[in-house]
Amino acid sequence: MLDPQTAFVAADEWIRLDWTALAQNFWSATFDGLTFGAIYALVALGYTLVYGVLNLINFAHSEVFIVGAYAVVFTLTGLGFGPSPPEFSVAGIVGALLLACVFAMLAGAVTAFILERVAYRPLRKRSAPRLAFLITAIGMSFVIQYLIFIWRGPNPEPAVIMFAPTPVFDVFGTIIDSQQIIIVVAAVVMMVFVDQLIRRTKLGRGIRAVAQDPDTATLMGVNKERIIVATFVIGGVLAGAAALFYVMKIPSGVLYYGGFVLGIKAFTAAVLGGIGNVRGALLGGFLLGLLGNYGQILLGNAQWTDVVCFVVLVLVLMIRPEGILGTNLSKVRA
Amino acid sequence: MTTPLGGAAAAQAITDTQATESRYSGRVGHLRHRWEQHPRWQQWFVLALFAALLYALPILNPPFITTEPGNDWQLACFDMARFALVALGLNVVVGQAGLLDLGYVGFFAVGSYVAALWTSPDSTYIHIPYLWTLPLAMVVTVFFGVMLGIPTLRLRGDYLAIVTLGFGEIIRLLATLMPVLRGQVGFQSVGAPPGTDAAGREIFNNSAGTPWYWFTVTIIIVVLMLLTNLERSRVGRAWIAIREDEDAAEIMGVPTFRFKIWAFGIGAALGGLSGAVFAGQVGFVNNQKFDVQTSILFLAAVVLGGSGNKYGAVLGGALVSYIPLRFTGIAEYKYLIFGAALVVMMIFRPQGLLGSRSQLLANARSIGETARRLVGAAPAVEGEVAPAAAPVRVEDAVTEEVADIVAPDRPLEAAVGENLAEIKDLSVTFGGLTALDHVSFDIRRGEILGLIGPNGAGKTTCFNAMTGVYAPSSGSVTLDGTSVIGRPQHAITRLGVARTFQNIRLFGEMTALENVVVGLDARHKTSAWGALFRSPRHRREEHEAIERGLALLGFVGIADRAEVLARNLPYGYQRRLEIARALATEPKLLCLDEPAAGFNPAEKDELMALIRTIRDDGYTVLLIEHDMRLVMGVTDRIVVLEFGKKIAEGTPAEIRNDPAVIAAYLGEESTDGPA
Amino acid sequence: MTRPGKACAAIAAVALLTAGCASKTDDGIGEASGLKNLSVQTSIDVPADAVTAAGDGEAECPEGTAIGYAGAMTGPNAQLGINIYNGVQLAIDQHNEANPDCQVEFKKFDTEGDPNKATGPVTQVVNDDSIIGVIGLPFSGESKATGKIFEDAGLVHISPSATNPELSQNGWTTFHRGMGNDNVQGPAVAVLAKKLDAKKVYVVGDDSDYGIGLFKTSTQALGSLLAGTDKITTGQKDFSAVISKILNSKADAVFLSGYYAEGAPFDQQLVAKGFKGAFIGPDGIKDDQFVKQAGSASGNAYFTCPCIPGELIPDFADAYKKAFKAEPGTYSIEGYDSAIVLLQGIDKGNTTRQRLLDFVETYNGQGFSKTYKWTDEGELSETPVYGYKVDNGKIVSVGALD
Repeated sequence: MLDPQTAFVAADEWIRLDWTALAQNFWSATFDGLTFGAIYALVALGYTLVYGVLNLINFAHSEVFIVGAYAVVFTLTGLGFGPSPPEFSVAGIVGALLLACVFAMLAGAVTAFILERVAYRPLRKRSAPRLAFLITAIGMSFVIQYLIFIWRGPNPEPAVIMFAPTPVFDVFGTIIDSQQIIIVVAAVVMMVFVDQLIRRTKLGRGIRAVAQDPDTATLMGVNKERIIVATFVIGGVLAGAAALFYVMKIPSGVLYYGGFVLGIKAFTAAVLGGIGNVRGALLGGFLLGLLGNYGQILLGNAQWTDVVCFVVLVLVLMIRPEGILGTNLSKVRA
Repeated sequence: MTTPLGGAAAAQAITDTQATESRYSGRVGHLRHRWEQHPRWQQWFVLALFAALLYALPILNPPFITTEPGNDWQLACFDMARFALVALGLNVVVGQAGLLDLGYVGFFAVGSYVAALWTSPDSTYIHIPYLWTLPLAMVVTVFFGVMLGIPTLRLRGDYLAIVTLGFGEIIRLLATLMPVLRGQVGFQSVGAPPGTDAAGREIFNNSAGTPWYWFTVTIIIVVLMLLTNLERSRVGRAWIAIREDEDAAEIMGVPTFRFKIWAFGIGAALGGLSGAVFAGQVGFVNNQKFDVQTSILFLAAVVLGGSGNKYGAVLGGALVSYIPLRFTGIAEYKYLIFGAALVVMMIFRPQGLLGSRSQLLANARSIGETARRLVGAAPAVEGEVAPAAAPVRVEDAVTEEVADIVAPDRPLEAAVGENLAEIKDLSVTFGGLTALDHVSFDIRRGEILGLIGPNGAGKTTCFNAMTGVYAPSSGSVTLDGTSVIGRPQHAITRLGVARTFQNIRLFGEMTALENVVVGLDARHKTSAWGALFRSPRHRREEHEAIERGLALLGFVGIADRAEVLARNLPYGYQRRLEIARALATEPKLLCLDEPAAGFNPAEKDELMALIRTIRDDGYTVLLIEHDMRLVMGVTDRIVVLEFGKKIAEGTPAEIRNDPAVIAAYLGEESTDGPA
Repeated sequence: MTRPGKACAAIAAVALLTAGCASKTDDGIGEASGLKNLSVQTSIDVPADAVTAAGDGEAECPEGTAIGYAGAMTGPNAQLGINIYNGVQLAIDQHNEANPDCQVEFKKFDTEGDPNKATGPVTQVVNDDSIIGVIGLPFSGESKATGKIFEDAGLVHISPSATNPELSQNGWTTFHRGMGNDNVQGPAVAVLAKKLDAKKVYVVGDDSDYGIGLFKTSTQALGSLLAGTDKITTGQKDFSAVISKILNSKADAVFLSGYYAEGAPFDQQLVAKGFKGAFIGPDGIKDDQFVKQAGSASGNAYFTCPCIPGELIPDFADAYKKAFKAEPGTYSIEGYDSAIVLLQGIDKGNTTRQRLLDFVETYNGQGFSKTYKWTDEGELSETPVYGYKVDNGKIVSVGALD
């Protein structure tokens, strides 16, 4: 038997902060972190909107996202994309990506719609307790995951490379490439659209009204059921868009349980920014993306990204459960 | 149960249709009721037979049921037992205390690693005999459970679920990241109980299912007995109360946080125990099997069997393990099947396969006898419901004996008229809004004080500030000279303030008697350890609980429905039950929040009689009420609030003629205003 | 849904601006790297004295004599298992056809390659008295978890692919390995790197039993060539952090000690970030799935493997293709050769577990792939390692590494 002392020495050494690595890779970690953050933010919106309106953690939203990712992969594979960078013209690539984006949004929206119809509405009709909703959501999440598993098997889909990223800027010796720029800019643009949608349109007013007080909103002539469906559908559409960027960033990451961890991170981003708050989702997404990436490099293993995410989640809920920007969807002023 | 019912006819209808829905509802309930009527020795005999059958299961290897040739039957039996044990532990957390734990596999993992770290030759830790690792695993997981619980158990239900999910994942990730836990490489040759057979082979080797099965089943039986003790004690009742309505439980004197920690700790201990057993049987522990999927499978086991029913959990656990082993063709669909099962169960049968609920009283057998002695008739059980419609008239019900039990040591003459509670300069603000503005009044011992005012005047806010629901921004509330401000709600209840709710908040899945006993538990002192091992104090308190509980039900006139689930009681009964439950906490001050809401005039008359009887029995009552006839008819003094300020105080006659009060009520409906 | 539509248009605009110079990457190692290109091996002769499955055709054995296979048949790692048991099946079919008086049964048990699940099926194998010898288990983790069960039952088993060196160090007499372990593969990585003329090799290891072992032996063998090391975990999909470290280190070759599930996205992301050097993987990455998933990025990939390129042995490759309508895969030939050893024992009348175990212990014969003779610990005495590379989308041998 070895000296028990050695075990404790080993236990001491497992957290090692590698500041040199962080300093060396700071900028690449920052750009990659923002890219992931943009994707988290788009998925986080789905959680935030549903939570704002129904006070429900839509646990199965990660599956809405992964269905969108499958739609992206299938569309692009069908168009001749594959694991090697495509040899199409720029216009061709852009057209294909737009098509994939539309299909992914459609797939996300339809999945979210079905989810609401099949799982949540029956419970709402019976005014079931909150935990019943959550357990149902978990059940649906499993059902979707393993339907995909049975259909597509345990392995990830073959990689789909949309385009070879090209260097655009050089920041302190680190390259920012076209892929990173596209993802971050497009995500921010979409977030602004959603923000305006909630603030300025009739649908947005309806959503805010239901979020504030469903009963009063109904009395005021707002069709609550329609608003709820619309909220799910918007979340699904955004998850579809996020799926496109996710596949762009991680071309071989599409497999049956691929949405799960990303879903948790997106939910954490939503809570971090203030669940129910559209701008909070963006802020939370970027923050979490950065924290995760810095943590990963500082601590020297990609698994730390997830640990960092969960620890952030617990800390936020502990210390400031309303998040950074506050929680209330209904308090948004038009 | 929020629809106020009109007259006695409606109450009658409701009674007739629902009275049969006692604890024994459903087919399983039926069986259960018949079972409970048999003498003890017959029950023991049947149980012994059943246990013998259970132990013989791996040897019998019954055809059709067996999992062979696909999977070794003995190992399959062990696996079922292991899942049953896990489900039993998770059931305490999810089913009984209502805390959705999605990271339960984390506890299981901790238990497995404890067994591995202290027995496997791959570990550099000191090695101890395997059997010692079982209690050690429980201790370590309880530590983890409490460490996780203390910061998180204050979170709301679904946030708690997500945080526990995170905890489970962190445990798994740490198993990967901490070199001492050896990641995927894991630990070989984890220990096992000692002993070798005639041929010199270890009895507990990892291809021998039967010894491990017997070992696990024995653990399950012991755990079941201990859990039964807990369930039929103030601990078990507190859990159910928390699950049903956490705020109401707290106000009824249940230290909810402490009991949630207990549930978490016990659940963790059982998770750790099953993890250690599993590690011993497989003989190998690495980081691969502690994922969320497994946690959800555990949850499915509990939900499938019947959340809150320990036998259901055992059944559910065994099924979740058995189905994929028996039908290997569908094994790869198991997550799909159990995911769908979760959805279907939630939508169509939320109570699970074994829906029957648990007995929460230790001496349930004595209910009938005690009730006959106290109120002259045993409470209704299925099939023998008396057609009585309205509650028994209070004057008829309250015998000398009942009254004595309800208020055993209340000094009736002493100090009547002196100040019991003093409210001074009490202010409550929400954001910038002042709901209560420097309100002061006294409550005198032995009086019925009415608190009235138009809608939004701050009556309920005042109540909530007095009972610790809201923290006042300034001012003081003292009871018998002791300040209640800043104390937890359950502590205020123990200090002697009890209340009912405007919208009834009973523990729907408990019987009327059990609801009252939750209130009585506020004065009980049995610890969880005492309940676990049935200490003499626990037995004495449980015995008293039934007597006092029935007496209280008799006092409010609903003893005949003692064994009916609260959610199935007619509306009027529910109102009375709430009063009985509040009285059970032995309050110095009883606060009634609009107790007559939804009553017809006849019922209101009876309620007035009841309130008077309560006062006459020695209690002090603070009454919020809209109905002026009732307030004027029953109160000794009245305090009037408007826009958060006190505008008048005096006898009913004085208030009736107070110009400020009349002005305040002019805007209100004239029928409600002072005549 | 007009708003998301607009958002799509916005993406398009951005994409047009920035994706403008999307260019096609070259196949193979970039010229800038200065690495050598190794030439392809085209065929291997069958040794003249190779023992065949058919034997002399006169063997007799009791009816119901069986050889077992325990290992992955379903689950994420099924392909390797299929390669192996097809090899075994081929040997048994050839044997039974040639020996009418000795019909050996073949019984298969699925472990999904999972150490936690393997105990059950293996228990069933040892409880089935007709099985006197076993091919399996394919993976190191499950072999480790079940070795003792075989030992207790005295049932001989030959793993054609579990490479963890520790497996032979448990004192199990029944354990035998049908190829070289990671201790020989690690040094082969250094040999391959030197053959490629690599100056700086970055080593990345996953967290599997297998990956950790190889990580240790390969970093030791590389010595001064080592440019840096890093860790990944199985299941990881994004490697940007590791890759930026590799690019910072200016390494011209990367060795990933792990499986293809991580290897393919890793290589693909590595190339996408502009890495021009060689990617080296061990036998766990040498898989057609790797090429399929990594696409054109796999053009820079080399492999080490203690496996023999069965497809280059004409007799075997043809028979395999005929029987299973597929090319033999990694470790097919090892499964085939190992089965022949057991069949030889049965043909010579060793039809109890004890006697077959004794037979294998003292066996010394030439297989299709290499000589089979075991040490006391159950390791082969002769353990060649071959180098492979991706050439036009196919994995081909570049010859033995010695």
